[in-house]
Amino acid sequence: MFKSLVYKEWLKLRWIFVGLAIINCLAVINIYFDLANTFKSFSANVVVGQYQFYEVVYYSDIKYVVLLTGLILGIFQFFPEMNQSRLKLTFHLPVNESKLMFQMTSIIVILLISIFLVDTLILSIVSLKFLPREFFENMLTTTLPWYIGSICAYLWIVIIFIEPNWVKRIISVLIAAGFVNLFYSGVGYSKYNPSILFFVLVAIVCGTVYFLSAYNFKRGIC
Amino acid sequence: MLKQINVIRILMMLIIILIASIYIPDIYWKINKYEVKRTNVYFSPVSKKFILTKSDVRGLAYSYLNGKTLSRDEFEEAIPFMNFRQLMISGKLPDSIDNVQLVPKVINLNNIMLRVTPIGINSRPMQLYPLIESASGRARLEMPPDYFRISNRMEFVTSMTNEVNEEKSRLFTSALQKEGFSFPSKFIYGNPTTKKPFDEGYFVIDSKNQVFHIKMVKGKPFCKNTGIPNDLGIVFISTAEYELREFYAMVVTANNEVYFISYNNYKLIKLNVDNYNHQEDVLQVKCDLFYRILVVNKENGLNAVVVNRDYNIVDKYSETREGKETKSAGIIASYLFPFTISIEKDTTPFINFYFSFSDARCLIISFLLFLITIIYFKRKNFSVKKIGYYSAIVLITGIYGFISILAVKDFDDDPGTK
Repeated sequence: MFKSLVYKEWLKLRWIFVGLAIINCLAVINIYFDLANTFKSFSANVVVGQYQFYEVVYYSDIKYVVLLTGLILGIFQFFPEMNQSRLKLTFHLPVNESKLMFQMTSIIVILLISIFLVDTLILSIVSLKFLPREFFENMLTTTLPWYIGSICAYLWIVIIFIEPNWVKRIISVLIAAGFVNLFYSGVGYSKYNPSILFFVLVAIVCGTVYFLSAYNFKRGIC
Repeated sequence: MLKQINVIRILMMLIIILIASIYIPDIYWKINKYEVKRTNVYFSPVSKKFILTKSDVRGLAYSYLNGKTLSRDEFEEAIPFMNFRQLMISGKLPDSIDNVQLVPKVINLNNIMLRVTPIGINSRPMQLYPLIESASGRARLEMPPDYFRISNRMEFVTSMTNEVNEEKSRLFTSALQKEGFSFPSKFIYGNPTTKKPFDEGYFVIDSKNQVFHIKMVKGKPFCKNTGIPNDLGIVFISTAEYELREFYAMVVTANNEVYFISYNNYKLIKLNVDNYNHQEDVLQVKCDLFYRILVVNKENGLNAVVVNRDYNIVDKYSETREGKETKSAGIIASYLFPFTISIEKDTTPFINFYFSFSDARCLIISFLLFLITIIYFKRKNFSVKKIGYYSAIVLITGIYGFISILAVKDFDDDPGTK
């Protein structure tokens, strides 16, 4: 059953996934060229000094690319489901709706994580090529909340799409905006270092609440 | 499943409470922004009295503590050291005060302003710094081609190649080892800029809390154990090079004590700051030819102590002003919001969940909403257990909990869960 579900989601999302993966790679490659050109325009010790002193986030371009990646994958996964009432059919399968929802969202979360791992890998190579390792270490801790925020944005898209009640849907949009914004605050390096575990915990709690919307949806159609 | 759904519903309510307690007070204070008023404290070497400048959006007013106001010209004459350039232009700079000849160059040399903020203390900058050549023989300081870190050795990374300069790293590591440095460093404090008159390098705390002074003199390492007690509990060292060469840096300790590290063999000079909390207050040290004014700026007031050049107390002044909590918006907020969560705070650069709690006044609205919740659920014929859960959330979280009840709303339409 899970394999069939994976195949169905893959057929539906493969091109959008490939497109988003390419956009992410292009964004990171763009960061590489920007950094390489900075080192061609200014002497290396000046660049390192300025980046260190002002905490220049030279990879800030991917901040909103990763957020959009989560949002777009969520929209492309659930818009056809809701628009063509496919989710209703899926929920009539002899499988628990929570299990189905968990499987459907897990597929996308895994796809998102795979894109983010590629982003991180390329950014690590770029950082270690040009700058001392401290910048690489800070890059890992600075970008982590953005990736978690993107996964949360995806989960909120799921909640908003499958929520059958329009008033609650609007309330969910407001909560989602506030919630996702929590992961994109602060300027500079590693601003979530003392608190990242709390934010991961909050994200995990967020990862459970779409079951409520799925339950409401199923109950609404039964 | 229904049991799990009830748990998930409570988790959803907690998320709504979290978001509401962050954004609703934020929007509330955005709408009710209070007017910022600032007080600056000066000590007149002429009248030996405090002078305050009070500023707000309307402008600036000068006055003595007894309320007597001064004009701008009178203020400048009363505080001649800070305003010596203006007094020279207007020809009003006195020749001497207390039999001390006033020489503009000497006045300028002694005019120093230091400022330590909680955000500076709580910052954790990347521990990678340039070691500037402090005796290059050039008129201007120059940035070196490499940056150092102190991990299990002192390592210089050449920026151009991004590779470790082994020779220089070995030279400085062995100099540190000879001086008894215990690797790695806990923190490096310095002033990594070329826009200063000369360079004094860095003060580095090693893993045994010993404080070392490290700089580069003609390409050779200068490493010295300062002998500053390692049980001092240093939380911050504010370094800056001044031509006066009286002190290298200012040290703040966990016990809110403040010291200068003097040029006299790193001897510590204690500054008698009044009621200072390094996690909340901004410390200003204004130095001039006669005095050091130690000002602790608090959210709702300030404490100022004037000491002479021997660091003995000359005079003190404290004032408290009304904070935002005493204004009508603040009073309403303390009834309305049982607590507020902020993810950003003025005193730290880090993002976290910072709680601030209201006082007992918030219980009035919380209790009212608690009763409304009970009545609402009673009318819907919910079980006592369920009413208990939800109303307890409202009682604890007040308006936020009530908003979460209104947002989740469909408690009554679960078949068989009442």
